[in-house]
Amino acid sequence: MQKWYRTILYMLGIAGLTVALVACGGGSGGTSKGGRLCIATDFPVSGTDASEGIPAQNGVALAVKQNHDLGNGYTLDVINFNDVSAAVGGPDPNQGAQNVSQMLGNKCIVAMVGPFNSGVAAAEMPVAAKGKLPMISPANTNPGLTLKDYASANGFNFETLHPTGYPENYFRIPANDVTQGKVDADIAYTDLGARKVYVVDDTTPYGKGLADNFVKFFQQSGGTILGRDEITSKDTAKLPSLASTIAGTHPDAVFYGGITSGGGGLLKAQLVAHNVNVPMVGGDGIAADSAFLKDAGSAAENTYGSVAAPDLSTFTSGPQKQFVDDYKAAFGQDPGPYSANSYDAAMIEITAIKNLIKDGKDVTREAIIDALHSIQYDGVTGHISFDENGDNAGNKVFSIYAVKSGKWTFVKEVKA
Amino acid sequence: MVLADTGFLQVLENGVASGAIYALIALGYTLVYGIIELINFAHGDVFMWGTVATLYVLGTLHITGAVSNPWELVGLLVLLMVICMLLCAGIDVIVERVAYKPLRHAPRLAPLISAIGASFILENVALFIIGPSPISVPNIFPDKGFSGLGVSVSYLDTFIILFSVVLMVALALFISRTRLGRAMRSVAQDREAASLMGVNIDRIIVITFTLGGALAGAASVVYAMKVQSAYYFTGFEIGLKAFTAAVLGGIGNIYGAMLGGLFIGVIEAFVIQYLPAGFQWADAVVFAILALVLVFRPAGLLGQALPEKV
Repeated sequence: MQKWYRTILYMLGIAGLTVALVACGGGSGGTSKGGRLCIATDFPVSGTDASEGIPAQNGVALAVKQNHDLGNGYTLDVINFNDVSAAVGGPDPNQGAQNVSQMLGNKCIVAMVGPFNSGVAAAEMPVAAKGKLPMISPANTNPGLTLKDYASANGFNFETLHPTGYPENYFRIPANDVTQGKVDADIAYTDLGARKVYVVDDTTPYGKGLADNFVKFFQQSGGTILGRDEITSKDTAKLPSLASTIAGTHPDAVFYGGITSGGGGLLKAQLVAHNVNVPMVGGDGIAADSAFLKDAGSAAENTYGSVAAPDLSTFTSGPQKQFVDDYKAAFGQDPGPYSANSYDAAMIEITAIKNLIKDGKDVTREAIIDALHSIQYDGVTGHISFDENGDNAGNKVFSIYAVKSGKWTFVKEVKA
Repeated sequence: MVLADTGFLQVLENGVASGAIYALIALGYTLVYGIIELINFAHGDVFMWGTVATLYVLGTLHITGAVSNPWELVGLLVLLMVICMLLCAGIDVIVERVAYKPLRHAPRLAPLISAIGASFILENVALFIIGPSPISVPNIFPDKGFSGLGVSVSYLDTFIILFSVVLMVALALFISRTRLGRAMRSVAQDREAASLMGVNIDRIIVITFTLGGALAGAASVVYAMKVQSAYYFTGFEIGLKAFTAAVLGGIGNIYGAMLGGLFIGVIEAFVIQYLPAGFQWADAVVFAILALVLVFRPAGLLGQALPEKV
C-alpha cells in the first residue's frame, strides 16, 4: 500500500520538476543556430466578435505562411490564442493576460501580433513588457495605451503599462481614438447634419474612450449631447427601456462607442423598434462588422462607422492587389477590415527577424524589439515606422462605411 | 443631460410589459417553493433554454423578421409556445427528478447546492451550443402597434400583456377550482397530512414543476422576441429578477409573484427613465427596494408570516 503511494509521489515530483525546467528554459526565447520560431496571435476568435477577430488572425496566418522558410535553417510558424471568455461574453482582458503568460512560457514564440481590443491590450502590456515580448497591435486605438497624457483619463496607469527598466515592447498600426473621435464627430455633425446626439458606450476602455473623444469634438463643433449611458452584453433585457428613453429625447443621431458584443447591434434593433429612425454612428468596433448586421437585422440600415485602416477598394498598387489575391486564395473570402493591418504587423516582425538572421545575430525577443524601434517598412497599408511611443509615424487613414441595403458599404477615405 | 419626454403612461407600459414576463417566471419559483420549500435555482436557466429553443425554431423555419400574414403569425406563435412550454416543462421535471428528488429527505442545504449545480450545467451546455455572446433572435410581430394618449403599444407588448393575463387567470383557476389544485394546496399546507388523505405527493410535485416550467417556456418565447436575442447567461440575470419578484410578493403566494413581477418591471422602467444614469442604477435600485420591503414586511407584500412547521 505504502509503496505504490510513494511511487506516485516520485512520479509527480519528476513531472513537476520537468515542467518547471521547461518553463524556466522558455523565459529567454529564441535560438542562435537555426530552429523553429513562432509568432503568436491574440484575437477574439469565438462569439460575436469572431467576425472581426478571425480576418485579423488570417492576416497574420497569411504572412507567416508566405515566410515559413526564413533561411539559415530557421522556420516560422504561427500559434493562435483566443481572448474571448465565457465570463465576459466577449474579449476578456484577464484571458488576454493569461494568454500572454502562456506565450512567454513558450520558447518558440519570439513576437506577437494583437490584441484587437484596447482593454485587452492594457492587461497584456505589463505582462508582455516584463517578458520582453514584442507586440504589434493591428487594431488598438485607445490613445492612453501609448501616450502618457491620455492614460489616466482612460483608466490606465501609464507606469503599469510601461514598467520602468523594461524595453518599450508595444507598437501599433492604426491611428488612435482622439483622431477617430474627431472623424466620427465629423460624420455626425457635418456629413449627417446631426446637432443633438445621444451617446451610449460599452464600458470597455476602447468604447468609453472613443465615446469621450466623440463627445469632446462633437461639442466643439457646436453639437449637443442629450444623454449618456453604458451598456454591456449582460444588459440585453433592459435595452427596450433604454431605447424608449432615448426615443423621448428626440435625437438627430445616436453614437455607440463599443464593440458589437457590447450590444451595439441589439441597441440599433431596439431603437428602430421604438421608432427612433435616426442614424447610428460608431467606430471600428462595429463598422464593417458582419456580426453587427446580424444583431441589428433589418434595423441595421442607416448606421455609419469608421475603421482605422484603408478599404480594399483603395488597394490599387501591385503589392496591394497581390495581398488581396493571396488572401482570397488562402481563405476563400475577401480580407476583413483589419486583415491588411494584421498582415503588415506580422510582416514587420518577420522583416525584423529576417534582418537579424541575415546579420548573423541571435533571434531573441529583445533583439526584435530593438529592431522594431528603427524599422522602416513599406506595407500594404502604406509606409510604416514607429515613433518613440510605439505609434505608427506613417500616414494614417480612416475608412468610412455605411449600412446600405443590408451591407456595409465603403463611403469615403479620410486622411488623419 | 436632457430629460427624455417619454410620457408617464409610456414608461408604465414599458414596465408592465417586462413586469409581465418577470411575473410568469416568478410563478415558477413561488409554486415550487410553496410545495417543497425549495428555491429552484435552475428555473432561470430553464427559461433561458426556452429562448434558445425559440432561436432554433425560427432559424429552422428561416424566419428572419416580422410575419405579416396574421394566420401565419398565429400558427407560428402556437408552434413556438407548444415547443417551448413542453421543453421547459420537460427540463424542469428532469431537473426535479435528477437533482431534487433523491435529496428530498436530505438536509435543506443539499438540494440548494444541487439546484446551483443544475443551474451551472444548463448554462454551460447552452454556452457550448450557442457560444459566449448574445445571438440575435427575430421579432415575428410587425413593428407597428396601437397608439393613443401619448402611448404606443407594440403588437408584441400587447400580446405579452394579454397572454400573461390569460395564463395567470388560468393558473389561479386551476389552483383554486380543480381537484389537482386542491391537492397542490393541501400538499403546500401539510405534506404529511395530505399524503395520509391519499394525495400522491410525488405526482403533485411533478405537476408543480411542469406548471412552473410551462409558464417559463411561455415567457421565454416573448422575451426572446422582445430583447431580440438569446444569451446563455440570461437565466442568471432574469432568474434573479424573477426570484426577487417572488420574494417581494411573498414567496409561496402566486398572487404575490404576479404583483411582485409587475412591481419590479415598473420600478425598473421608471428608474431607467427618470434617474440620471438610471440604466446603470436600475438593478441596484430594484434590490434596494427589495431589501427595504423585507425589513418592514419580512414575508413580502402579500405573504403571511407562518409559524414554523413542526
